[in-house]
Amino acid sequence: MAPHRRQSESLSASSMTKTRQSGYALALLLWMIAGMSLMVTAVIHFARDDISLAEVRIKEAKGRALAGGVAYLAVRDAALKALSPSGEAGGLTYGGDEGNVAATFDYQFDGIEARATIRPASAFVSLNSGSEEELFTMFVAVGGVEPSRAAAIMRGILDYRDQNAPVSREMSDFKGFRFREELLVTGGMTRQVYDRVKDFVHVHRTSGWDPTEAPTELDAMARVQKASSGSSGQKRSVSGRGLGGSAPVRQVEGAITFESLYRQKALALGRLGEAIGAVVVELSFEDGGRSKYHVWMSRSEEKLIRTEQLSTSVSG
Amino acid sequence: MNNARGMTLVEVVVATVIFSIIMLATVTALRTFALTYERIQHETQQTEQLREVDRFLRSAIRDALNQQALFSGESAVLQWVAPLDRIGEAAGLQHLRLAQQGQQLTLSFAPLGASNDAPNWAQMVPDFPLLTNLESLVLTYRSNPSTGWGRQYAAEGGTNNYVPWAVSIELTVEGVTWPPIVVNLNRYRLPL
Repeated sequence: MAPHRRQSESLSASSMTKTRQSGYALALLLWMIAGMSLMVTAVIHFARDDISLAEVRIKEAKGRALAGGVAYLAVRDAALKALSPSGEAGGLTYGGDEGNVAATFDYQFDGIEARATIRPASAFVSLNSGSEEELFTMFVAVGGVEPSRAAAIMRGILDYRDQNAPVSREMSDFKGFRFREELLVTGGMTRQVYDRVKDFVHVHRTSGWDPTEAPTELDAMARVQKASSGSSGQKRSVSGRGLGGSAPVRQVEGAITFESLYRQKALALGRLGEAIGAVVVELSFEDGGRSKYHVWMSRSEEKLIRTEQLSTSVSG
Repeated sequence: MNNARGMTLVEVVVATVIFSIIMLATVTALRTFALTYERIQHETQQTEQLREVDRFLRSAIRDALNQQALFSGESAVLQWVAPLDRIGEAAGLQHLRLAQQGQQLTLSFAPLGASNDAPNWAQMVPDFPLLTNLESLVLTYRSNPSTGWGRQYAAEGGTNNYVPWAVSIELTVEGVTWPPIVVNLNRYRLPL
Protein backbone atom coordinates (compact mmCIF):
# COMPACT_ATOMS: atom_id res chain seq x y z
CA MET A 1 0.00 0.00 0.00
CA ALA A 2 2.79 2.33 0.88
CA PRO A 3 4.21 2.73 -2.63
CA HIS A 4 0.77 3.30 -4.01
CA ARG A 5 0.02 6.06 -1.56
CA ARG A 6 3.31 7.73 -2.27
CA GLN A 7 2.64 7.71 -5.99
CA SER A 8 -0.76 9.33 -5.68
CA GLU A 9 0.67 12.06 -3.44
CA SER A 10 3.41 12.89 -5.90
CA LEU A 11 0.90 12.90 -8.73
CA SER A 12 -1.34 15.41 -7.03
CA ALA A 13 1.65 17.63 -6.20
CA SER A 14 2.98 17.61 -9.77
CA SER A 15 -0.47 18.35 -11.20
CA MET A 16 -0.72 21.31 -8.86
CA THR A 17 2.57 22.81 -10.04
CA LYS A 18 1.57 22.13 -13.64
CA THR A 19 -1.60 24.13 -13.22
CA ARG A 20 0.28 27.02 -11.74
CA GLN A 21 2.94 26.93 -14.46
CA SER A 22 0.39 26.66 -17.28
CA GLY A 23 -1.16 29.87 -15.93
CA TYR A 24 2.12 31.71 -16.46
CA ALA A 25 2.60 30.17 -19.87
CA LEU A 26 -0.88 31.27 -20.87
CA ALA A 27 -0.23 34.81 -19.72
CA LEU A 28 3.04 34.90 -21.62
CA LEU A 29 1.38 33.51 -24.73
CA LEU A 30 -1.47 36.00 -24.56
CA TRP A 31 0.97 38.85 -24.12
CA MET A 32 2.93 37.80 -27.16
CA ILE A 33 -0.20 37.36 -29.23
CA ALA A 34 -1.35 40.81 -28.16
CA GLY A 35 1.99 42.32 -29.12
CA MET A 36 2.00 40.66 -32.49
CA SER A 37 -1.57 41.57 -33.32
CA LEU A 38 -0.80 45.15 -32.39
CA MET A 39 1.99 45.19 -34.92
CA VAL A 40 -0.08 43.50 -37.57
CA THR A 41 -2.82 46.06 -37.00
CA ALA A 42 -0.35 48.88 -37.39
CA VAL A 43 0.99 47.40 -40.61
CA ILE A 44 -2.51 46.94 -41.98
CA HIS A 45 -3.42 50.44 -40.92
CA PHE A 46 -0.48 51.88 -42.81
CA ALA A 47 -1.24 49.89 -45.90
CA ARG A 48 -4.87 50.89 -45.77
CA ASP A 49 -4.00 54.53 -45.32
CA ASP A 50 -1.78 54.39 -48.33
CA ILE A 51 -4.43 52.68 -50.40
CA SER A 52 -7.11 55.18 -49.46
CA LEU A 53 -4.81 58.09 -50.27
CA ALA A 54 -4.01 56.53 -53.61
CA GLU A 55 -7.71 56.04 -54.24
CA VAL A 56 -8.43 59.68 -53.51
CA ARG A 57 -5.75 60.63 -55.96
CA ILE A 58 -7.13 58.29 -58.62
CA LYS A 59 -10.57 59.71 -58.09
CA GLU A 60 -9.23 63.19 -58.44
CA ALA A 61 -7.43 62.37 -61.67
CA LYS A 62 -10.49 60.59 -62.99
CA GLY A 63 -12.72 63.48 -62.01
CA ARG A 64 -10.53 66.00 -63.76
CA ALA A 65 -10.29 63.96 -66.94
CA LEU A 66 -14.00 63.26 -66.88
CA ALA A 67 -14.84 66.91 -66.29
CA GLY A 68 -12.95 67.86 -69.43
CA GLY A 69 -14.63 65.14 -71.45
CA VAL A 70 -18.08 66.00 -70.17
CA ALA A 71 -17.49 69.64 -71.02
CA TYR A 72 -16.72 68.75 -74.62
CA LEU A 73 -19.77 66.49 -74.77
CA ALA A 74 -22.02 69.19 -73.37
CA VAL A 75 -20.76 71.78 -75.81
CA ARG A 76 -21.25 69.36 -78.68
CA ASP A 77 -24.76 68.44 -77.53
CA ALA A 78 -25.68 72.05 -77.07
CA ALA A 79 -24.50 72.81 -80.59
CA LEU A 80 -26.50 69.88 -81.96
CA LYS A 81 -29.54 71.00 -80.07
CA ALA A 82 -29.20 74.47 -81.50
CA LEU A 83 -28.94 73.04 -85.00
CA SER A 84 -31.95 70.74 -84.80
CA PRO A 85 -35.13 72.43 -86.03
CA SER A 86 -37.26 71.41 -83.06
CA GLY A 87 -34.78 72.50 -80.41
CA GLU A 88 -34.90 76.01 -79.14
CA ALA A 89 -32.11 78.20 -80.24
CA GLY A 90 -31.00 78.63 -76.67
CA GLY A 91 -28.91 75.54 -76.24
CA LEU A 92 -25.50 76.98 -76.07
CA THR A 93 -26.11 80.55 -75.21
CA TYR A 94 -22.90 82.22 -74.53
CA GLY A 95 -23.01 85.08 -76.88
CA GLY A 96 -26.56 84.12 -77.80
CA ASP A 97 -29.53 86.38 -77.59
CA GLU A 98 -31.72 84.65 -75.05
CA GLY A 99 -31.81 81.69 -72.74
CA ASN A 100 -32.77 82.62 -69.23
CA VAL A 101 -32.02 79.16 -67.93
CA ALA A 102 -28.59 77.72 -68.45
CA ALA A 103 -28.50 74.59 -70.57
CA THR A 104 -28.07 71.43 -68.53
CA PHE A 105 -27.00 68.01 -69.75
CA ASP A 106 -26.86 64.75 -67.83
CA TYR A 107 -24.50 61.93 -68.59
CA GLN A 108 -24.01 58.51 -67.10
CA PHE A 109 -20.66 56.81 -66.92
CA ASP A 110 -19.47 53.63 -65.38
CA GLY A 111 -20.58 54.26 -61.83
CA ILE A 112 -20.32 58.01 -62.14
CA GLU A 113 -23.08 60.44 -62.85
CA ALA A 114 -22.27 63.75 -64.43
CA ARG A 115 -24.32 66.87 -64.83
CA ALA A 116 -23.04 69.67 -66.99
CA THR A 117 -24.41 73.18 -66.96
CA ILE A 118 -23.21 75.59 -69.57
CA ARG A 119 -22.85 79.09 -68.34
CA PRO A 120 -21.48 82.07 -70.21
CA ALA A 121 -18.54 83.88 -68.72
CA SER A 122 -20.89 86.69 -67.79
CA ALA A 123 -22.44 84.43 -65.17
CA PHE A 124 -19.31 85.03 -63.12
CA VAL A 125 -17.45 88.15 -62.23
CA SER A 126 -14.63 89.19 -64.50
CA LEU A 127 -11.46 90.39 -62.83
CA ASN A 128 -10.46 92.23 -65.98
CA SER A 129 -13.67 93.90 -67.04
CA GLY A 130 -15.96 93.70 -64.02
CA SER A 131 -17.19 97.11 -62.92
CA GLU A 132 -16.34 98.61 -59.56
CA GLU A 133 -19.84 97.95 -58.39
CA GLU A 134 -19.73 94.28 -59.35
CA LEU A 135 -16.43 93.71 -57.61
CA PHE A 136 -17.51 95.63 -54.53
CA THR A 137 -20.80 93.78 -54.26
CA MET A 138 -19.10 90.45 -54.74
CA PHE A 139 -16.61 91.05 -51.95
CA VAL A 140 -19.34 92.17 -49.60
CA ALA A 141 -21.88 89.49 -50.45
CA VAL A 142 -19.68 86.49 -51.23
CA GLY A 143 -16.35 87.40 -49.69
CA GLY A 144 -18.00 88.44 -46.45
CA VAL A 145 -15.84 91.49 -45.80
CA GLU A 146 -16.68 94.92 -44.46
CA PRO A 147 -17.65 97.51 -47.07
CA SER A 148 -14.56 99.60 -46.30
CA ARG A 149 -12.29 96.63 -46.84
CA ALA A 150 -14.21 95.57 -49.92
CA ALA A 151 -13.56 99.00 -51.35
CA ALA A 152 -9.85 98.66 -50.62
CA ILE A 153 -9.71 95.26 -52.27
CA MET A 154 -11.61 96.61 -55.25
CA ARG A 155 -9.14 99.45 -55.58
CA GLY A 156 -6.31 96.93 -55.45
CA ILE A 157 -7.84 95.05 -58.35
CA LEU A 158 -8.26 98.21 -60.40
CA ASP A 159 -4.65 99.13 -59.72
CA TYR A 160 -3.50 95.72 -60.84
CA ARG A 161 -5.51 96.09 -64.02
CA ASP A 162 -3.81 99.36 -64.85
CA GLN A 163 -0.36 97.97 -64.31
CA ASN A 164 1.38 96.43 -67.21
CA ALA A 165 1.19 92.72 -66.82
CA PRO A 166 4.40 91.10 -65.67
CA VAL A 167 6.79 90.42 -68.53
CA SER A 168 5.29 91.08 -71.86
CA ARG A 169 7.98 91.51 -74.42
CA GLU A 170 6.08 91.69 -77.64
CA MET A 171 2.75 92.65 -76.17
CA SER A 172 3.77 95.68 -74.24
CA ASP A 173 0.15 96.79 -74.15
CA PHE A 174 -1.06 93.77 -72.24
CA LYS A 175 -2.60 94.72 -68.94
CA GLY A 176 -4.50 92.92 -66.28
CA PHE A 177 -5.07 89.45 -64.97
CA ARG A 178 -4.18 86.26 -66.76
CA PHE A 179 -5.02 83.83 -63.97
CA ARG A 180 -7.35 84.17 -61.03
CA GLU A 181 -4.42 83.30 -58.75
CA GLU A 182 -3.00 86.73 -59.46
CA LEU A 183 -5.75 88.07 -57.27
CA LEU A 184 -3.63 87.00 -54.30
CA VAL A 185 -1.00 89.62 -54.99
CA THR A 186 -3.36 92.55 -55.33
CA GLY A 187 -3.53 95.04 -52.51
CA GLY A 188 -5.80 94.36 -49.57
CA MET A 189 -6.43 90.75 -50.52
CA THR A 190 -6.11 87.93 -48.03
CA ARG A 191 -6.15 84.20 -48.54
CA GLN A 192 -9.44 83.79 -46.64
CA VAL A 193 -11.24 86.22 -48.91
CA TYR A 194 -9.60 84.67 -51.95
CA ASP A 195 -10.81 81.23 -50.94
CA ARG A 196 -14.36 82.51 -50.68
CA VAL A 197 -14.50 84.28 -54.01
CA LYS A 198 -12.16 82.26 -56.19
CA ASP A 199 -14.88 80.00 -57.55
CA PHE A 200 -16.79 82.96 -58.94
CA VAL A 201 -14.15 84.97 -60.69
CA HIS A 202 -12.44 84.61 -64.02
CA VAL A 203 -10.11 86.58 -66.25
CA HIS A 204 -12.15 86.69 -69.44
CA ARG A 205 -13.69 89.83 -70.75
CA THR A 206 -17.44 90.15 -70.46
CA SER A 207 -19.86 92.94 -70.99
CA GLY A 208 -20.98 92.94 -67.41
CA TRP A 209 -22.21 90.47 -64.85
CA ASP A 210 -25.50 88.83 -65.68
CA PRO A 211 -27.57 87.82 -62.61
CA THR A 212 -29.96 85.74 -64.70
CA GLU A 213 -27.22 83.36 -65.73
CA ALA A 214 -25.36 83.32 -62.45
CA PRO A 215 -25.20 80.23 -60.26
CA THR A 216 -27.29 80.15 -57.08
CA GLU A 217 -24.22 80.79 -54.95
CA LEU A 218 -24.22 84.33 -56.28
CA ASP A 219 -27.84 85.02 -55.31
CA ALA A 220 -26.64 86.96 -52.29
CA MET A 221 -24.70 89.20 -54.62
CA ALA A 222 -27.74 89.85 -56.78
CA ARG A 223 -29.73 90.77 -53.68
CA VAL A 224 -27.10 93.19 -52.44
CA GLN A 225 -26.82 94.70 -55.87
CA LYS A 226 -30.54 95.13 -56.22
CA ALA A 227 -30.79 96.74 -52.80
CA SER A 228 -27.98 99.17 -53.49
CA SER A 229 -29.17 100.09 -56.96
CA GLY A 230 -32.64 100.69 -55.56
CA SER A 231 -31.35 103.22 -53.09
CA SER A 232 -30.50 106.20 -55.29
CA GLY A 233 -27.58 104.38 -56.90
CA GLN A 234 -24.83 105.84 -54.82
CA LYS A 235 -22.35 103.26 -56.03
CA ARG A 236 -22.61 103.82 -59.71
CA SER A 237 -20.42 101.94 -62.03
CA VAL A 238 -17.78 104.19 -63.45
CA SER A 239 -17.66 102.40 -66.74
CA GLY A 240 -21.23 103.45 -67.26
CA ARG A 241 -22.69 100.05 -67.90
CA GLY A 242 -26.28 99.73 -66.89
CA LEU A 243 -26.41 97.00 -64.32
CA GLY A 244 -29.47 97.79 -62.27
CA GLY A 245 -32.74 96.20 -63.23
CA SER A 246 -32.30 96.74 -66.93
CA ALA A 247 -31.96 93.85 -69.30
CA PRO A 248 -28.39 92.62 -69.35
CA VAL A 249 -26.46 93.28 -72.49
CA ARG A 250 -24.59 90.22 -73.60
CA GLN A 251 -22.33 90.49 -76.53
CA VAL A 252 -19.75 88.30 -78.02
CA GLU A 253 -17.05 88.06 -75.43
CA GLY A 254 -13.39 87.49 -75.79
CA ALA A 255 -10.75 86.27 -73.46
CA ILE A 256 -8.22 88.89 -72.74
CA THR A 257 -5.39 86.54 -72.76
CA PHE A 258 -2.13 86.81 -74.47
CA GLU A 259 -3.32 84.42 -77.13
CA SER A 260 -6.52 86.27 -77.85
CA LEU A 261 -4.68 89.53 -78.27
CA TYR A 262 -2.34 87.78 -80.61
CA ARG A 263 -5.20 86.53 -82.65
CA GLN A 264 -6.87 89.88 -82.67
CA LYS A 265 -3.82 91.14 -84.41
CA ALA A 266 -3.27 88.11 -86.56
CA LEU A 267 -6.81 87.83 -87.86
CA ALA A 268 -8.75 90.65 -89.33
CA LEU A 269 -10.92 92.27 -86.72
CA GLY A 270 -14.18 91.37 -88.35
CA ARG A 271 -14.14 87.69 -87.56
CA LEU A 272 -14.14 87.50 -83.82
CA GLY A 273 -16.85 85.09 -82.95
CA GLU A 274 -15.00 84.07 -79.89
CA ALA A 275 -16.96 83.22 -76.85
CA ILE A 276 -15.74 81.94 -73.55
CA GLY A 277 -17.93 79.98 -71.26
CA ALA A 278 -17.70 77.78 -68.24
CA VAL A 279 -19.17 74.33 -68.24
CA VAL A 280 -20.02 73.58 -64.65
CA VAL A 281 -19.55 69.84 -64.25
CA GLU A 282 -20.89 68.08 -61.18
CA LEU A 283 -19.78 64.49 -60.71
CA SER A 284 -21.31 62.04 -58.25
CA PHE A 285 -19.27 58.96 -57.63
CA GLU A 286 -20.59 55.56 -56.66
CA ASP A 287 -19.35 55.86 -53.10
CA GLY A 288 -21.21 59.12 -52.52
CA GLY A 289 -18.28 61.42 -53.21
CA ARG A 290 -19.10 64.51 -55.20
CA SER A 291 -16.90 66.95 -56.96
CA LYS A 292 -17.55 70.03 -58.98
CA TYR A 293 -15.48 71.64 -61.68
CA HIS A 294 -15.52 74.72 -63.81
CA VAL A 295 -14.24 73.84 -67.23
CA TRP A 296 -13.48 77.03 -69.09
CA MET A 297 -13.86 76.58 -72.79
CA SER A 298 -13.36 78.70 -75.81
CA ARG A 299 -16.13 78.07 -78.24
CA SER A 300 -14.50 79.36 -81.35
CA GLU A 301 -11.47 77.18 -80.86
CA GLU A 302 -13.36 74.25 -79.39
CA LYS A 303 -10.60 74.23 -76.87
CA LEU A 304 -10.43 73.67 -73.18
CA ILE A 305 -8.79 76.61 -71.48
CA ARG A 306 -8.62 75.48 -67.90
CA THR A 307 -10.25 73.04 -65.52
CA GLU A 308 -10.74 74.36 -62.02
CA GLN A 309 -11.90 72.18 -59.18
CA LEU A 310 -14.29 74.02 -56.93
CA SER A 311 -13.67 74.17 -53.23
CA THR A 312 -17.20 72.99 -52.56
CA SER A 313 -16.31 69.47 -53.64
CA VAL A 314 -16.95 66.75 -51.09
CA SER A 315 -14.99 63.56 -51.22
CA GLY A 316 -16.81 60.46 -50.10
CA MET B 1 10.83 14.03 1.24
CA ASN B 2 9.74 12.48 -1.97
CA ASN B 3 7.46 15.46 -2.73
CA ALA B 4 10.39 17.85 -2.65
CA ARG B 5 12.13 15.86 -5.37
CA GLY B 6 13.98 18.14 -7.80
CA MET B 7 14.10 17.88 -11.56
CA THR B 8 16.57 15.71 -13.36
CA LEU B 9 19.20 17.22 -15.57
CA VAL B 10 17.52 15.79 -18.64
CA GLU B 11 14.25 17.48 -17.73
CA VAL B 12 15.97 20.83 -17.26
CA VAL B 13 17.83 20.53 -20.55
CA VAL B 14 14.72 19.55 -22.46
CA ALA B 15 12.74 22.39 -20.88
CA THR B 16 15.47 24.90 -21.70
CA VAL B 17 15.71 23.71 -25.29
CA ILE B 18 11.96 23.90 -25.81
CA PHE B 19 11.82 27.31 -24.16
CA SER B 20 14.64 28.70 -26.24
CA ILE B 21 13.14 27.38 -29.45
CA ILE B 22 9.86 29.08 -28.60
CA MET B 23 11.62 32.31 -27.64
CA LEU B 24 13.71 32.27 -30.78
CA ALA B 25 10.62 31.80 -32.92
CA THR B 26 8.82 34.58 -31.11
CA VAL B 27 11.70 37.00 -31.29
CA THR B 28 12.22 36.27 -34.98
CA ALA B 29 8.54 36.78 -35.66
CA LEU B 30 8.55 40.06 -33.77
CA ARG B 31 11.66 41.19 -35.61
CA THR B 32 10.13 40.31 -38.95
CA PHE B 33 6.99 42.19 -38.05
CA ALA B 34 8.97 45.21 -36.95
CA LEU B 35 10.99 45.19 -40.15
CA THR B 36 7.88 44.84 -42.28
CA TYR B 37 6.29 47.65 -40.37
CA GLU B 38 9.24 49.90 -40.95
CA ARG B 39 9.48 49.01 -44.61
CA ILE B 40 5.80 49.60 -45.20
CA GLN B 41 6.03 52.91 -43.39
CA HIS B 42 8.96 53.92 -45.53
CA GLU B 43 7.30 52.82 -48.75
CA THR B 44 4.10 54.59 -47.79
CA GLN B 45 5.95 57.78 -47.12
CA GLN B 46 7.83 57.45 -50.35
CA THR B 47 4.75 56.93 -52.49
CA GLU B 48 2.89 59.64 -50.66
CA GLN B 49 5.67 62.10 -51.28
CA LEU B 50 5.84 61.15 -54.93
CA ARG B 51 2.12 61.42 -55.25
CA GLU B 52 2.21 64.93 -53.90
CA VAL B 53 5.10 65.87 -56.15
CA ASP B 54 3.27 64.42 -59.12
CA ARG B 55 0.13 66.31 -58.28
CA PHE B 56 1.87 69.61 -57.77
CA LEU B 57 4.02 69.36 -60.88
CA ARG B 58 1.06 68.44 -63.02
CA SER B 59 -1.02 71.38 -61.92
CA ALA B 60 1.88 73.82 -62.12
CA ILE B 61 3.17 72.74 -65.51
CA ARG B 62 -0.27 72.46 -67.03
CA ASP B 63 -0.75 76.19 -66.58
CA ALA B 64 2.64 77.24 -67.95
CA LEU B 65 2.37 80.66 -69.53
CA ASN B 66 2.74 80.61 -73.30
CA GLN B 67 5.00 83.58 -73.79
CA GLN B 68 8.35 84.15 -75.34
CA ALA B 69 11.41 83.53 -73.19
CA LEU B 70 9.38 82.32 -70.25
CA PHE B 71 9.66 78.61 -70.90
CA SER B 72 12.96 76.84 -71.16
CA GLY B 73 13.28 73.11 -71.37
CA GLU B 74 16.66 71.46 -71.03
CA SER B 75 17.38 67.82 -70.42
CA ALA B 76 18.07 68.42 -66.72
CA VAL B 77 16.44 71.76 -65.93
CA LEU B 78 12.91 72.89 -66.55
CA GLN B 79 12.02 76.54 -66.17
CA TRP B 80 8.56 77.98 -66.60
CA VAL B 81 6.06 80.54 -65.33
CA ALA B 82 2.83 79.51 -63.70
CA PRO B 83 0.24 80.84 -61.26
CA LEU B 84 0.47 79.51 -57.73
CA ASP B 85 -2.06 79.85 -55.02
CA ARG B 86 -0.54 78.40 -51.92
CA ILE B 87 3.09 77.62 -51.65
CA GLY B 88 4.17 79.58 -48.64
CA GLU B 89 4.63 83.20 -49.60
CA ALA B 90 4.73 82.51 -53.31
CA ALA B 91 1.49 83.58 -54.90
CA GLY B 92 0.40 84.95 -58.22
CA LEU B 93 2.58 84.41 -61.25
CA GLN B 94 5.94 82.90 -60.41
CA HIS B 95 9.00 81.75 -62.25
CA LEU B 96 9.54 78.12 -61.37
CA ARG B 97 12.62 76.02 -61.88
CA LEU B 98 12.83 72.28 -61.45
CA ALA B 99 16.29 70.76 -61.24
CA GLN B 100 18.31 68.09 -59.52
CA GLN B 101 20.78 69.31 -56.91
CA GLY B 102 22.78 66.42 -55.58
CA GLN B 103 20.25 63.98 -54.20
CA GLN B 104 17.50 66.58 -54.16
CA LEU B 105 14.78 67.46 -56.58
CA THR B 106 14.63 71.18 -56.01
CA LEU B 107 11.95 73.65 -56.95
CA SER B 108 13.02 77.29 -57.02
CA PHE B 109 10.76 80.31 -57.03
CA ALA B 110 11.13 83.84 -58.28
CA PRO B 111 8.42 86.46 -58.61
CA LEU B 112 7.58 87.45 -62.15
CA GLY B 113 8.64 91.03 -62.59
CA ALA B 114 7.44 93.61 -65.05
CA SER B 115 10.68 93.48 -67.00
CA ASN B 116 12.46 90.74 -68.83
CA ASP B 117 15.31 90.55 -66.34
CA ALA B 118 16.64 87.19 -65.33
CA PRO B 119 14.59 85.77 -62.51
CA ASN B 120 15.78 86.48 -59.02
CA TRP B 121 15.80 82.97 -57.66
CA ALA B 122 15.06 82.26 -54.01
CA GLN B 123 14.86 85.92 -53.13
CA MET B 124 11.37 85.84 -51.66
CA VAL B 125 10.80 82.15 -51.11
CA PRO B 126 13.64 79.72 -50.40
CA ASP B 127 14.22 76.75 -52.67
CA PHE B 128 11.98 73.89 -51.82
CA PRO B 129 13.21 70.29 -51.85
CA LEU B 130 10.47 68.18 -53.40
CA LEU B 131 12.36 64.90 -53.00
CA THR B 132 15.46 64.17 -50.97
CA ASN B 133 16.59 60.83 -52.32
CA LEU B 134 16.50 61.38 -56.02
CA GLU B 135 18.85 59.39 -58.20
CA SER B 136 18.07 60.80 -61.57
CA LEU B 137 15.81 63.26 -63.29
CA VAL B 138 15.13 62.92 -67.00
CA LEU B 139 13.11 65.59 -68.78
CA THR B 140 11.82 65.13 -72.28
CA TYR B 141 9.66 67.36 -74.43
CA ARG B 142 7.32 67.01 -77.31
CA SER B 143 7.10 70.24 -79.27
CA ASN B 144 3.93 69.29 -81.08
CA PRO B 145 1.60 66.31 -81.32
CA SER B 146 3.22 65.03 -84.49
CA THR B 147 6.82 64.93 -83.32
CA GLY B 148 8.54 62.50 -81.00
CA TRP B 149 10.07 63.09 -77.62
CA GLY B 150 13.22 65.17 -77.53
CA ARG B 151 15.77 65.92 -74.84
CA GLN B 152 15.40 69.63 -75.35
CA TYR B 153 12.68 72.05 -76.24
CA ALA B 154 13.20 74.80 -78.76
CA ALA B 155 10.34 77.10 -79.68
CA GLU B 156 9.34 76.48 -83.26
CA GLY B 157 9.65 79.44 -85.51
CA GLY B 158 6.58 80.69 -87.30
CA THR B 159 4.15 79.58 -84.63
CA ASN B 160 2.86 81.34 -81.59
CA ASN B 161 3.87 78.52 -79.32
CA TYR B 162 6.53 79.16 -76.75
CA VAL B 163 5.61 76.11 -74.75
CA PRO B 164 5.78 72.50 -75.89
CA TRP B 165 2.73 70.34 -76.39
CA ALA B 166 3.76 68.00 -73.61
CA VAL B 167 6.46 67.55 -70.99
CA SER B 168 7.55 64.26 -69.50
CA ILE B 169 9.36 63.94 -66.18
CA GLU B 170 10.99 60.66 -65.26
CA LEU B 171 12.13 60.30 -61.67
CA THR B 172 14.33 57.56 -60.25
CA VAL B 173 14.12 57.33 -56.50
CA GLU B 174 16.02 54.71 -54.49
CA GLY B 175 16.65 52.50 -57.47
CA VAL B 176 13.04 52.60 -58.60
CA THR B 177 12.17 54.43 -61.79
CA TRP B 178 8.62 55.69 -61.51
CA PRO B 179 6.28 55.91 -64.44
CA PRO B 180 6.95 59.23 -66.15
CA ILE B 181 4.78 62.19 -65.27
CA VAL B 182 3.46 63.33 -68.63
CA VAL B 183 1.79 66.71 -68.67
CA ASN B 184 -0.16 68.20 -71.51
CA LEU B 185 0.05 71.98 -71.50
CA ASN B 186 -3.24 73.86 -71.51
CA ARG B 187 -1.86 76.90 -73.22
CA TYR B 188 -0.34 75.11 -76.14
CA ARG B 189 -2.10 76.24 -79.27
CA LEU B 190 -2.72 73.81 -82.05
CA PRO B 191 -1.40 75.14 -85.36
CA LEU B 192 -4.25 76.52 -87.41
